[in-house]
Amino acid sequence: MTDSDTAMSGSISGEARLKAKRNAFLRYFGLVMVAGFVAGMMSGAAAAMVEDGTLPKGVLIALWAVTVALFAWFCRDYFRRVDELDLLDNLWASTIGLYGYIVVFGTWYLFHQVGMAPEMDHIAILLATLAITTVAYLARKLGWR
Amino acid sequence: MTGESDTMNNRLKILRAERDWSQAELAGRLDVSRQAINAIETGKHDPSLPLAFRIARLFNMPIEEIFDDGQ
Repeated sequence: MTDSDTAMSGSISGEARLKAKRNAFLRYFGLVMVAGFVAGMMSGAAAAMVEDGTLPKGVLIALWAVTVALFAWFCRDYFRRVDELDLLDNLWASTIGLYGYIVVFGTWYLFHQVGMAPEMDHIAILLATLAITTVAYLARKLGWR
Repeated sequence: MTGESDTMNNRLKILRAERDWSQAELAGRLDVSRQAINAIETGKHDPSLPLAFRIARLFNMPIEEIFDDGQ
């Protein structure tokens, strides 16, 4: 807590502080979502232009590098903004998501090896991993701790 | 930490009620979410040491008078 925060806490109520902080976080998160959407659209358009030959590959690589750097910055910044309970929820959800990935990947690989499953679909495995992580996070948010 | 099931008892809810504070009020004063206060009060989350110190400072009490590990 900074000195200005401490000074603020003396002048406004805790409920008002919490509300202001929550609104600021929602604005920040909304802005990041919009930026992510724009980055996704731009990278898709750039990839199409590289395929057409109207954009040098170097530009796409530069765009990709900037996007990854911004994503890394956002991850660091996000985890500095959330409180310790949300951080724990994220850590648990990520761990469960990773274990889910290992189980789904390993199961599919095993059954594909013996001819009991089709060719592995890595996008499906990624989506399953994200779904497992999201369910685990929401379960924690709903109080299942 | 041996696991989240080994939670400590605490008097947070009582101390909060004595001051007629809502969970949101306490959360704002401690710079955490309301869910964090609820999780601590219901024994689903043990606060970190820095947060435990902030709680102790806010109530002007030693940590041991707020948190009890049952030993």
